[in-house]
Amino acid sequence: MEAPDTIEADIKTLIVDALALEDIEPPAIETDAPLFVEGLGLDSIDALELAVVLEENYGVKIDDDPERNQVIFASVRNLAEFVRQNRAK
Amino acid sequence: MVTSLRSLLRVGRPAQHPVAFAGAGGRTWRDFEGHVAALCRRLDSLAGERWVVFLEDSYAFAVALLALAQRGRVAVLPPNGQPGTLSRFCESADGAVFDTVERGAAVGATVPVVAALQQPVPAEDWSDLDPDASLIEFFTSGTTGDSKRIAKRLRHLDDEVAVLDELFGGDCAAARVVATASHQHIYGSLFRVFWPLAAGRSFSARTYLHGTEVAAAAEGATALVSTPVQLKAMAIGDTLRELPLSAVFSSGAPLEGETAAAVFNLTGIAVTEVFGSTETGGVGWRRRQGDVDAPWQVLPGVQVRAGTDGGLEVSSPFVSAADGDWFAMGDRVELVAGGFRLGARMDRIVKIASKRLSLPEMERDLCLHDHVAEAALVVERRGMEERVCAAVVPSQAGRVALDELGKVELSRALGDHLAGFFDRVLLPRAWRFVDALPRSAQGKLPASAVRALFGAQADSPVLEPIVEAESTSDGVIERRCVVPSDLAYFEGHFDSFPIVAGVVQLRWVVEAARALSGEAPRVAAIEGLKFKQPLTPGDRFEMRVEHAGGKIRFAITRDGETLSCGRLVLG
Repeated sequence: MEAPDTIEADIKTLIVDALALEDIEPPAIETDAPLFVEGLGLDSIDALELAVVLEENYGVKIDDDPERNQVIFASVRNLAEFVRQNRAK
Repeated sequence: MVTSLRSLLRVGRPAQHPVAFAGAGGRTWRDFEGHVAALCRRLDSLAGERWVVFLEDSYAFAVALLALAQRGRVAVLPPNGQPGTLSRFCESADGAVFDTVERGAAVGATVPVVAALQQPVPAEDWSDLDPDASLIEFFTSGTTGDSKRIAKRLRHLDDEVAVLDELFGGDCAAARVVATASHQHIYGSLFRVFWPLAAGRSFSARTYLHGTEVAAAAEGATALVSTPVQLKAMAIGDTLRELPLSAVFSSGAPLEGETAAAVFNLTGIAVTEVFGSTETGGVGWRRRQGDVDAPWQVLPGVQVRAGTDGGLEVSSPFVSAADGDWFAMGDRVELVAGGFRLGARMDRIVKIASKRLSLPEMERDLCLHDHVAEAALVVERRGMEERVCAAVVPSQAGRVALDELGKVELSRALGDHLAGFFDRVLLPRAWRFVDALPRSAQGKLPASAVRALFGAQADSPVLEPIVEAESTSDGVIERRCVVPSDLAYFEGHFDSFPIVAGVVQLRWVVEAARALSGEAPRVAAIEGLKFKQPLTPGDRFEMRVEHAGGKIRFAITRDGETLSCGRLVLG
């Protein structure tokens, strides 16, 4: 059993590495802050890339369901929650 | 009236006719013939077709090119004189013509190296040259950063010289030609060497770097062959005022409308801008007075059309690649009566996530923000996708904001500003705030140089000044530089009043001396060292380093005022 916060921390690292974000260290991403536009400033290309790395790392498949994805990608916490529920056992 | 280069030596000129001035002093036609004959004789003892030519002295350049042509050899012109470049070019050539044989040793040339100016010998019974003979190979950096070889036949140059004299000869009839543009590139080679040589106008053997030197060299009617970046500096420095100029030429990069207007206000001369490329030679020209967007007129003999992609295509007697074919210039074009207007470079229209983006348009919009003085955008792969990356020269207000808010917040503010005009996926993903854009000495801003700002080294400490322009001649190297405001050496010197420490200035002098001679000087002692005025972040300064008699003399000046000077004694 992983510590509950580990996935959150790992996802922050994935975001910074996969998206080649500059000037931000993973721990500086707030777990509950919005990822897109007004928050971290990510965009639709980033969402696609994130979906790919999440699948690679956790075996979770993110479907093309805009409404649902808006919730999943809302914050690091939501992403982590989605991973916990759907990751390959 | 021009004499074609192919028959120049056979036709000849009066013995005392002035050919060149400055550099090693005045040169007459008798000197010229004697020097060409001497180099021809030297070449007779050496086999091989392709000869690397890199010369500081433009008179020596004329001698070398005519002698190589007389002996049916080809001059290979490297794009710059960096020791590594010269060494690489020598590897694939049969020999080299340099100012001195020592230069060949300094770059480790393994081919025969001859000095351009040999002891003059009596002239030969010259014959006409074959107009279809290959004369020069230029090398230009393509958009990908690789050098591209462009061969010119003698007739390409003769045809273009004839056209230049037909159009502009009247303006510079009795003028001496003074140049700040290097003859190693096609523009300089034509405008400051071949054309004056063919027209019988005396030309400067030296390449001037500063407006003050141009002013000193401008005696009597003077035609100035310059580049946009140099004209801009001279206009700001006010050194062109009341010079006896009869014509000012600019090529190699786009001339800003402001600079054109400033030069006109200072000199009363409308700059003759020439648009072309190494491949095509000159394509169009214009003189702007008032109308910043005045169309380009097509050079006589040249044809232009809009390609199916909306890009400018050129058919020209000066085109070297496949004569008679149409050559795509890579610029968007709008054809107008008698000429054309240029749009953005085609390679500057990109697609990000299948959305079209004009980089020049975004650069313009970025510059609307009052924190931005200049901006350059490139597209780079970040993560899995291509993204826009922005290099920004902050304005005065931007610099204050950078200090107060930091890079992250300023980037975000500029991104938000752009979000008012562009889809979010098009917004720059990486930002660099720099003191000056990485322009070449010709004023070009290569995408590869901008891209390098985003490379892995971007975060390594900044140790060197930004070199905006450079010229070398007769053991002298002169550089116009800017002090980077993020110079690592400011750490501790001093927080409230950052200055470039004397030891750092000396380091820069040593680096310039290394660039001059190809090897790091071994300094045994320092004499007469004076630090008169502080050098501070963002300062534009000039550095002159002269290597003579076992010593390196240097002076660092700003607007003519000496900041520091001294001598390094070599061991």
